[in-house]
Amino acid sequence: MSVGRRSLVAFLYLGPSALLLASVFLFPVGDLAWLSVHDAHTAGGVKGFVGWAHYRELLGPEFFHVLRTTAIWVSISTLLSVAVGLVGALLLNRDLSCRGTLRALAFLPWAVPHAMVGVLWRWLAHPQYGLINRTLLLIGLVSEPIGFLSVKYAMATAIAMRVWKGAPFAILAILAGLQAIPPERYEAAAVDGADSWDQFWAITLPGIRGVLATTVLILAIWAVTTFDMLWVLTEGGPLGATEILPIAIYRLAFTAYDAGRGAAIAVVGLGISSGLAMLYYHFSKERIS
Amino acid sequence: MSLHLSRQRQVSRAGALIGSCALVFLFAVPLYTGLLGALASPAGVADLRPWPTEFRWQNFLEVWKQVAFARFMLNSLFYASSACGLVLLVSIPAGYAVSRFRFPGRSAYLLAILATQMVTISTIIIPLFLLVVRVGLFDRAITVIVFSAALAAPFAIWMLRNYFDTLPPDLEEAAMVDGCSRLRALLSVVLPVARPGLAVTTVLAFTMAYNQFFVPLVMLSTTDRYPALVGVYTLARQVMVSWEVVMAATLLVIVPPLILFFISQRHLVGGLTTGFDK
Repeated sequence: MSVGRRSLVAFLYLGPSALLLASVFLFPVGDLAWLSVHDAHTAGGVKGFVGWAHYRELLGPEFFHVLRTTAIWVSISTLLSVAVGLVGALLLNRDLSCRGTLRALAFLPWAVPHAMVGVLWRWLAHPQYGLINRTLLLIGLVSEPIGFLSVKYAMATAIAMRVWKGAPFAILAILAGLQAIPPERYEAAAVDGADSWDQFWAITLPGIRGVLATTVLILAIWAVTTFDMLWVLTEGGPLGATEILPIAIYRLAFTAYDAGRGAAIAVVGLGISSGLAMLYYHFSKERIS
Repeated sequence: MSLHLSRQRQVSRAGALIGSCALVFLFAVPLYTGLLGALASPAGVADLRPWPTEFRWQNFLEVWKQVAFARFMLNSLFYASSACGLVLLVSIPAGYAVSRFRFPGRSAYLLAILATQMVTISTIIIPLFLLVVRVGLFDRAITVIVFSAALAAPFAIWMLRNYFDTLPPDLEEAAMVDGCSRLRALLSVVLPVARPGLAVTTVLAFTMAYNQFFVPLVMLSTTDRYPALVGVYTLARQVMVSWEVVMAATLLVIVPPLILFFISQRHLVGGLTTGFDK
């Protein structure tokens, strides 16, 4: 078969997927940049060119608040997920009875759809009826119910929810990393008299460094692009207390109908998530060939 | 000395077991509270105890009658299976081509597949929404199906490529020597052998489409067309929420992905570390 004919056949096989992906992913990216420099109403169409006006507005305190909220959400939820994941993986890597059952149960939250995670936590953290408040009141730890979804505590509740959903993935990834460490290394260290604490710092941690780095990046990418669970839990509120980037985009475009300003924020969001994704591919060395 | 060591090991093993159980217990709390709510009566749900006091299993049946829940579930299953079919239709030939053929533009195509994973749906939703409105596809099932398929396809192509790579090319080459065309060899020789890979890809594509919340939230406006996730969300944000109904519905919605998760769990680790899936 000639090179030309072979390429033609390949393009026929790739054609449908390329068409689908280009129309959903490629076309809108250019359109997004164009929208972000125009005055556009989500339901009423594009009105006129405004240049950098939307981007200049991003320098104000409103967008700074969104960036700050996003940074807190991403950093704390990611670090806590990895910390819980590391502890969980070390525990579940031990030769325990009923280890298989425990592992399956630990991965459970990972299988729950994001939007349903939001509903479950909305109920769990409910100020009057939720299990946490009911239990705290019952055993007399508090006399008044705690407003877990109030301005003061909503972010903490949201982060706890994100950790609940993210930690099982971290456990799974770190467990795979732990199992890749050759057991002879531990045996040799034990012969040399190293206790388990020494072994953790000298063998375990260096052995899973790569896995930890990629886990942090994947969880950070997921956190910075979270919409479903957070929207269902708080809709970004109260008073913007949990308004991270994807929520700000949605709120501007679909409740304030300002497509132009929403697009400018989306461009920034796209930049952040692509930067993290490129870092991830750099670390994971995904093979292209 | 050795007695002392083994005793120490036993203590540490017991500690690990207790720690693991505590962790699993904490992880179970949100689902447990969902079950407590789902089993309560309308009065009991406002007076919850940490332990179950009512066992109204009929709540799980009544949910299908009280609200449009049956409609929502049917919508979800229809969107997810259609999207899954579309994903397989475009991903099988694509995954096969990048696995078997060497042609100009191949690495560009693979790079583009990776690049789609950097474009998150929330950042491009505004131009997509304007496009959908412009061409008159707003509030239509086909829109949800096509977008859900596009979001799952890159992942499916990558998984299938990796799976086809593990199959020896002699398979279809033998068939082609016998006069089979390439397409015919793919359909009748390669795909039957690739069944395990296809099964995992199908399960994951279905789950990803079933779990879609953002796309239908933006692209649909008629309540009757909502998939289950959006339907349950609208129930949970009403002014007067019937939490026992919402929780029964939530747990029922979780059942299909949970079953699929346990079926495919063994194969997930490899798929995960390729870094796709959200």
